[in-house]
Amino acid sequence: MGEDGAPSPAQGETLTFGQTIDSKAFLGLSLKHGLLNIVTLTLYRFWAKTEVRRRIWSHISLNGEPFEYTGKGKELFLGFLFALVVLGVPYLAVILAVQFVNPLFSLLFIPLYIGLFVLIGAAIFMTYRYIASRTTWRGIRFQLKGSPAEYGWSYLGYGLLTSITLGWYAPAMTMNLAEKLWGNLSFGDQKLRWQRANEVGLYGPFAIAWIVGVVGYIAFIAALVPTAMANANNGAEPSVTMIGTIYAYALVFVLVVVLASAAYHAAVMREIARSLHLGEARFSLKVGAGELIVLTLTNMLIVIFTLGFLTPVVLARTARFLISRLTSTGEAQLAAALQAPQGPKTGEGLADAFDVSPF
Amino acid sequence: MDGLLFDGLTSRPWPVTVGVEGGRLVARSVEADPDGVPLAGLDWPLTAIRETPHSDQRLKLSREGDDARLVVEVAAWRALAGETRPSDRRRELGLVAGLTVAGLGLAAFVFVGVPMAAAPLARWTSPALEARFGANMEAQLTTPFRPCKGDPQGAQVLAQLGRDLATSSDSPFEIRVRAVRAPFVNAFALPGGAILVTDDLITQAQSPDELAAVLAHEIAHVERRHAMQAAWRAMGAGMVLDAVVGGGTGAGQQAVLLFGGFADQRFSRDLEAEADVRGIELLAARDISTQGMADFFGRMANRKDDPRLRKAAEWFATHPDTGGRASRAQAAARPGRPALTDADWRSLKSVCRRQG
Repeated sequence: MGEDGAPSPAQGETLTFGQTIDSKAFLGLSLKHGLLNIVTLTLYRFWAKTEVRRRIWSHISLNGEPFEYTGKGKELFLGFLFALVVLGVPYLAVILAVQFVNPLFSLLFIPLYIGLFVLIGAAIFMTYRYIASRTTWRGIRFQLKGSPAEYGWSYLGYGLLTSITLGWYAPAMTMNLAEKLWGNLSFGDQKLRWQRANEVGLYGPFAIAWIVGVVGYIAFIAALVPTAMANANNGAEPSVTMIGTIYAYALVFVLVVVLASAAYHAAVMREIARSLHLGEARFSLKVGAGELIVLTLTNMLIVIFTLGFLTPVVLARTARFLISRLTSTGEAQLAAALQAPQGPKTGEGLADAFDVSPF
Repeated sequence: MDGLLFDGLTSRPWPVTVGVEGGRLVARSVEADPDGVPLAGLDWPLTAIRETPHSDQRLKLSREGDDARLVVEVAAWRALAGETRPSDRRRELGLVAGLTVAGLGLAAFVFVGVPMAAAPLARWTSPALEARFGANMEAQLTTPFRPCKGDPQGAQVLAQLGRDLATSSDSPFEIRVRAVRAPFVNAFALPGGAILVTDDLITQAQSPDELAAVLAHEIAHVERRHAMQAAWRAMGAGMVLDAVVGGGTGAGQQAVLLFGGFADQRFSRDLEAEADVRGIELLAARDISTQGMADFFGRMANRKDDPRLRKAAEWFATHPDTGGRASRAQAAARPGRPALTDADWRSLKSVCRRQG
């Protein structure tokens, strides 16, 4: 360390994460954004999202220096317009061709549907790439290398493998995709390394989630059959009680899945953190199943009962949850990174259309 | 005063001395090369500087388009540079105002402009195009709605009744009425003149006048090209709204979509009312009693009293405000001749009944 507490370039530093996120402070922001969203026919959402990120980032620090989010609402808005053209024009063309030319044009929906999976994958990658390029620390940008198309096709391929194996490929898919996102990330010119830790067993907790999920699903369907039969016999009009019953069963099913899969999701988070390296530094995310259940359920309740109004609060709580459990050992040359090139000009349009953006 | 500079080139923190010289912020690194030249520094006009909170008692200074960041103590910075820089509040207000105008413009377009333009657009659409649209739709509908293959004579009576009622209409299309199998009470006017009547509706109709009333109503839809209007509206309003709002579930999006649903309801309600009025005219022109419309809607509206009519839910989804329409039809009811002879009515009733 230098005399001002600032490290000189050659020295390695241990990474200490801190956060001062107060999720209650996001209540006012949520209210403001919700109202502005309605008044502007939701067009304000791009600027709202940007402000939430800027706030959260500024309350997360590494070795005393806060992160900074430098994205702009305008960039998200332009990305949205771009996605509108890319997605809307082919979709509209096929719809019109089906209605006015020949119904056989509906066969085009098959390649469009497959293409959609690739696009969703690409959208996820582009979102991470945009966010990385708009995240700075000590004035230096992050950077995600790699290709959205490659990620998109992998997303489709792994997805097919997962469905062929009745879901059992899912843990491998998750880790392979995580490698493409985290293993291609750099801080400035310092690349993070991905070296699969294999310290956390994924298939044990996955088996529990899978079995409970499948059994729960069968039970869910079985529970619905008598209700649906009774309804079919006395006419086509679904009664309020019936809809209520279906929702109640669905809620129970979701609860069961959340409970049964929490151990798996916690294991995935721990394993991803374990697999990341920056210089000699290693990371650890101490997430347990129980606390993840509490977080997920409370977040669900907040979103459902406020019709999405308090989404910023949910994001803040989640960030707080993760950062407060993130630690690191070993040293990295944090003062030696060189600036990364400027990232993409627009961001996340596709992700907005598919609603897959993580933050 | 002292500060910590991140020069935007490397992640190395530079301890700097900070001063204000002639309206400019100047920072020079403490570390210097052998000739005494600072290794890092910055020189920004004070007016371009943005302040953001850094941490307790500290500020982060930056300027647009520059990667460098300067961290300073709040108190020392205030003493040096004076009061807070003007914030971006005015810009934000401008943005909100602009977006609100855009939102209101879009809302006016979606909720007022498109419904108003739907009728002229439908009239302007060439009948040939609408016919092709209808033919495609009919082809797609044969799967969910199997054609009735009962009494062929009944099918003829049904089609003829449709043609009779249409003689005094200005329909640009030949009216082709068919019976189809479906588990609910309803009738549809497709683009291009095809009218589908479900077997359940034929069962529920208690007199030829009731069926004639339903057909006259649907013929009015065809004549006024309501299917085309709905298509234009769906394209203009629905797609624009969906596209603008996006796939999201966030704050406000559900509210806006819900409002779009109400606007849909109102639009189809207006079309239904128009078709009722015109349908009564068509019946009167053929001298058929219009009591059938009042009776049929009345029974539909009070369906809860009649367990056999539970299947009418579909009717209500596509024909809002049936109760109000029943009373209006009752007010307009005029006596007339029966729409069909008893023999024709009997054979029509068996159009969906399996033969033998």
